[in-house]
Amino acid sequence: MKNKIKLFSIMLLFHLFVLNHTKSPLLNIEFLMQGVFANSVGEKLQFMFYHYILNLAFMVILIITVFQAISQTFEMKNYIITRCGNIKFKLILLRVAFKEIFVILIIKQIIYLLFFLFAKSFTSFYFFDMGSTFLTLFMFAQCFIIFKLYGVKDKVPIFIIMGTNMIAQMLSYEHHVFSIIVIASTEWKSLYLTNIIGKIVWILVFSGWIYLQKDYDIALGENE
Amino acid sequence: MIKLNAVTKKLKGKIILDDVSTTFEKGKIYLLRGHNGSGKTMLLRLLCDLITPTSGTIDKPEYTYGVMIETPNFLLHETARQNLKFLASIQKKIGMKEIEKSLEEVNLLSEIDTKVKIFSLGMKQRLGFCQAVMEDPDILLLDEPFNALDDEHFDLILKRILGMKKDKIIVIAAHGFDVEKYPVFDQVITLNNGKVTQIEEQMCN
Repeated sequence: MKNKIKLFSIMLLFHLFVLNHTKSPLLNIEFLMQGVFANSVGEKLQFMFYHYILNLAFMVILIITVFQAISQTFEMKNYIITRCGNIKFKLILLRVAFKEIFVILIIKQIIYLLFFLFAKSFTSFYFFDMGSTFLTLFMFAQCFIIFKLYGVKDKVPIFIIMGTNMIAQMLSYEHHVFSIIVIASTEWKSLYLTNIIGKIVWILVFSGWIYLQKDYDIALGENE
Repeated sequence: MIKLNAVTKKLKGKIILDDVSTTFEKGKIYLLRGHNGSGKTMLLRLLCDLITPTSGTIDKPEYTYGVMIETPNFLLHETARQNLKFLASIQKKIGMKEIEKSLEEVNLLSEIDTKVKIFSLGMKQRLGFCQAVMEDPDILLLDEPFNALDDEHFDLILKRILGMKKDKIIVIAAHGFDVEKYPVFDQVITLNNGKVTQIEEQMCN
């Protein structure tokens, strides 16, 4: 519980660090998740380096939280596999990721609630953000599990996934196709369906990959 | 009974286990002896299907396993109770009562709600042993179970192992175990560079 409160405080703090002159506190969430800025409501969202960095740091917190839970469960692989076999072990890893993402979504929900209370208004970004956060983090969690199943040490996938997120976020402002990899970018309103479908396809492909990766020798880092 | 028929395991082109043929029977305790890298842990992994042999076969019926291989690893930010509950939830064979009983048997009940991250190595070792035996498996595979234990807990774990001998196959890998001082094994298997160099029947007490 203590860890969850800590995570909530950190996540809330990030939202409070956002620069917003629009008198709509709800836009704090949008600016943070997209790494953008606007001087007034309705104005075109523009890239802002400070918010981009804030967005990356926020993503680091979310990604590390999910990966840590997977990594620790993975360390117990001998105990788990001898109890239920390889396939169920992978399902347990996915379940752990799901549980951790669910906690993040609940925290986000509380933050939204707080901002709704202050803003006394509603934003459609809420639905996209909740759905996209879940799908994006689950996508990253699957990537991490695949790396772990191939016996790669924690640091490598963390750097690769964070690096990918960092580059994709930057590229997504110009080349909107990259917004499939990140939680949100400037054109989310017009491309929300493409983004969600893209993420779902990605998750399905990775699910198949995780299922087919059977050789435990590789997970030991001792493949022939 | 588990029967290994000319089992060989190669990893990265190197022979880890070389033409191992031996039998493990119920009601007996086996000691795997040998220096570091002699293949003890690999043999334990093969016995519980964590890995498959490169050549040779392993004949055995469907068994349940309790394993403690390599350093005991747990969810560090969770308590001993939460860790064991998580593992018990996989097979759903036991409840909290059995978990508490098995913690009591290794003298860890008072630490049930302590986070594992502040456990000493010896405590983690006992918790590792606890998770291996709590579901009363058919086969118990223990890799260096006495590491980091003080005399009191060494005796406690040894007594617990002997108490379970009757209906189980118990295989212990320990490189420096004094078999003269503790003649508790039915068979001592010595491994050297992946080969079984000696199988010694013991008159255990």
